[in-house]
Amino acid sequence: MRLLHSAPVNFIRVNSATSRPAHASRAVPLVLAGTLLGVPIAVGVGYLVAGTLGIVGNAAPGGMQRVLADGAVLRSALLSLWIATAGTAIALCGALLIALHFGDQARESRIARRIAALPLPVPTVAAAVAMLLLLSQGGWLSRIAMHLHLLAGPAEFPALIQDPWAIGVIVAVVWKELPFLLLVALSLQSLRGTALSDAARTLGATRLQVLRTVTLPLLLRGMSPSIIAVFVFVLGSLELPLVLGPSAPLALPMLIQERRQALDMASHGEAYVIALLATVLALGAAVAHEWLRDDA
Amino acid sequence: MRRAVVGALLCSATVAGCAREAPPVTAAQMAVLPWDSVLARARGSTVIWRMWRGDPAVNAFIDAWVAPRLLAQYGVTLQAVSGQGNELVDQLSVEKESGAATGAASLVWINGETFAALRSRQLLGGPWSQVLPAGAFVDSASPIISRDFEQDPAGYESPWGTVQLALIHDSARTPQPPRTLAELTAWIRVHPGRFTYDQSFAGMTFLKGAMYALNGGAETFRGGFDSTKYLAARTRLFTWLDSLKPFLWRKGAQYPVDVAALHRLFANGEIDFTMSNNQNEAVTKALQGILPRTSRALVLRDGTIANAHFVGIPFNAPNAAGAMVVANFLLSAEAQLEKQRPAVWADGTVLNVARLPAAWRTKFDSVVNDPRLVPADTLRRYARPEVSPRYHERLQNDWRRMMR
Amino acid sequence: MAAGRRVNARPLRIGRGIMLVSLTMFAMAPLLMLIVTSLARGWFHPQVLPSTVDVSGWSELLTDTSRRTALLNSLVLGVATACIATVLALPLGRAAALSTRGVRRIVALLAFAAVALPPVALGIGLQLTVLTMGLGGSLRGVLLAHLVPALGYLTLVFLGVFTQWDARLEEAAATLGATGRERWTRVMLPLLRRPIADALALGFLVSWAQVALTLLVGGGAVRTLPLDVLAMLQSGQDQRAAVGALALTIPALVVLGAARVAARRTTAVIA
Repeated sequence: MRLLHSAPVNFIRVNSATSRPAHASRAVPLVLAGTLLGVPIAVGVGYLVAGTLGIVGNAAPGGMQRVLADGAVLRSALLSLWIATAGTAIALCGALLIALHFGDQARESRIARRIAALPLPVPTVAAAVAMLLLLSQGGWLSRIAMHLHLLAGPAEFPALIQDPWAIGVIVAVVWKELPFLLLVALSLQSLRGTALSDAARTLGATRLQVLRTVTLPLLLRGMSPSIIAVFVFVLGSLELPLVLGPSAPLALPMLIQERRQALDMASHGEAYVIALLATVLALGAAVAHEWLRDDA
Repeated sequence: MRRAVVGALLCSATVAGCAREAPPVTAAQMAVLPWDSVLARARGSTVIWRMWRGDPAVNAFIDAWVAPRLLAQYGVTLQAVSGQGNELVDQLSVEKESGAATGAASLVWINGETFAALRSRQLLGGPWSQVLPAGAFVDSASPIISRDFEQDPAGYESPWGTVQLALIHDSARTPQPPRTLAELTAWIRVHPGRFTYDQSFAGMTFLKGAMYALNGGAETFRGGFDSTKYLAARTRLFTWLDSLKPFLWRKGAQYPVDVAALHRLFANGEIDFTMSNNQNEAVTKALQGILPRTSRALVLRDGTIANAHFVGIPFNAPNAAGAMVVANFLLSAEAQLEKQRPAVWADGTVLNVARLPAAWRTKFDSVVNDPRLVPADTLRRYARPEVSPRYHERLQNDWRRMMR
Repeated sequence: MAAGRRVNARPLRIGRGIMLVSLTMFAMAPLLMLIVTSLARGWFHPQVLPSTVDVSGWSELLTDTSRRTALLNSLVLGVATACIATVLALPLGRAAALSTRGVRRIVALLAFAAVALPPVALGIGLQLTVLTMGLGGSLRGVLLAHLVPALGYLTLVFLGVFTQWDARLEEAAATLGATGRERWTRVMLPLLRRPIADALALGFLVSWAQVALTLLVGGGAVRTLPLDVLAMLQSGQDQRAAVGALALTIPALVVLGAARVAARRTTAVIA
């Protein structure tokens, strides 16, 4: 549910600087933002730092070194990065495909866009439940395939849930995130119009050349903040790996929860360190997001 | 220093922070009062009970049967909220860390390693359970009820139910199931991919039972945690597991997260066995439509682990008196009987039924002798007690680290 | 030329047809799955469809106290989060948009960070804070936690809205003699109707779908619909989980639809 309608806003270059009142205050927005956003973030991150240093919680000293040397943490981080990368990339490809094929005003295009956008507001946990029931080896797809005599038993259905490649999680990510990226792509298309590609066509470029050198690069550039938003959201999501993901390795948010609820104190303290690492990843992405926005 | 830093962090973060209220009356202080004044203090109060809220049958028993009776008989409003096991320990630890005088919950549902962790971190109030009037009928001669994973409850928790681990099979699919661990091992090898265990409580209890069986029985592990014994036993257990791994579901590379996931695999024909910490789930879960109607419980002849579950009162409980009244009501014959009905929950009683008045005895007997359930004497014959919670903790950690 | 176009058009139309069908199946299958499961009791492999239709899961949604409480908690949190976050984020977004480029960058960075922090990580700090404030396990404590990401999202929304905002409209209104109050009621609010509707919808949905923050800050004491769905799933109650998942999905679709209707009406007014 990120950024819903704010999406188009991220990339619109605005030339209304002249129309801004000269007396605009700096203090008011900074104080407001500091109180409403800065304080909770500082508290959140502050506790993780304090926990890592052993000021709160019961972390044994040297937690950072132990966590960095822990193979399980590395594997979890790699799994989470894989899910976020693959999920975002596939959702992006799907969104571009649909935007390019159904971007016009034909009746079926409007229907296609409406259908594709349907999963947009569906809460993640609902998507997770649906995918679990649909994609398990004893799930609905497997039963239908068996009914059609494509399979002899549940074991022949590919393992999509709780599989080491987290395919079930990735399918759920694509289902949830494709609509968002599609809306962003569509609004970009309608804003940008066809002037540039028309010009390229007039200059003798083939349809494919126009797509490759004009349309896609422009779309991708405009979509990059939204792509990062999706990536970060998937990286931090607990529900999808909880319901659909592998038990080994665990996705990063799951590992944080498991360590936090472990009964021995050392593991409990390490949860702060792993959470801090996940936070640093996310904050890095936030900086990249801001960097790529060109309207600010 | 630490407090100061935490305090500064919080004061800078919160406007309303740093206010300290007076601490409430603890369970230990309440326990020295006469029962009548406990009842008087409890009247008109609310008890928040943090418990496992995963089973609608249990929820219905608490919300629709226990709560209205408590209100009618004692004027206590019972509010059940979610939280169990490690979550409880984490929650109470954080409450203690935060320095706030009162916590949210007055009663918690615990046993075994959760009780051990709460006790060692001084997160439980007490002793109090020895003063409950209804405690007189508790079967204190039973080692499964009088000890919690070998620990003396010492008045810091009060029992309210017993369960025993059982495997569950589908009598339509597997009419001749294995009856011993050796038979099960052979069965798994002949039916690759059709068996697994979950990685939470039921699965670990199953593994612990296998550890007993492979190492000379539960007696080997009696008398507290012994690291040498544990390591030798772990080697035998893990060698056995390694030899089975290629024949398990997903070749032992993945394990269902919880027993519900295991039930789901079983019900949908992905595997041929599931298991449960409650021997009667084959009946209750079939009534709920979660397991096939042909599901049957199966107690391995090598013995399966039985244990009791308890309620405790947190150190920072806002309403210890109310919590004690609830714990006492849970021990009453009417509550214990209702809880044991297969249509309600089928959770075993902690009372010594023989000492109850004759009218109650007949009622209990008719429930226990339900033909759908595993016969009581079979259960008793193969019941094995829990050992020190350290075994459970170590096994869970080592399994996660080495076998998962 | 015309002939060539006709030759090209046919495979294109078939291609579009195939894409439309597969897109529809992909988008709808999970929702259909939930609907069928919500009506099935004791439905196991290899049955393709349940043998009977069972509506007990739906009737229970309103009769079972625990589920009803979860539903009510979710509604209260969603509405409160939407309203409070909108009221706070609107002035913040406006003030930032009217300020310098540097200030806008800082505000946007903070807002996105509030959105991007992994809820599990953010929740650890918020949990301790809320406990210290004496709001542990209370609805108000969970509301505070939900407000953090909601404020992040809505600040980005209003920052975007007011960055594109043509302040000359306000100035023109002032020049034409409109008082401060009139400027808001006659010019600003009608123009803002669409973004406000969007913001309310978004704020509601952020809270409505929240799992990790509720879990950590509520400490189990605050049961919301998403937590209820997870609990049902974790006890094997697939039918109840599916009912809960649909009870989450339907209002979400309605809220989004309502925001779109509001938006369309506003567009008509402006046009």
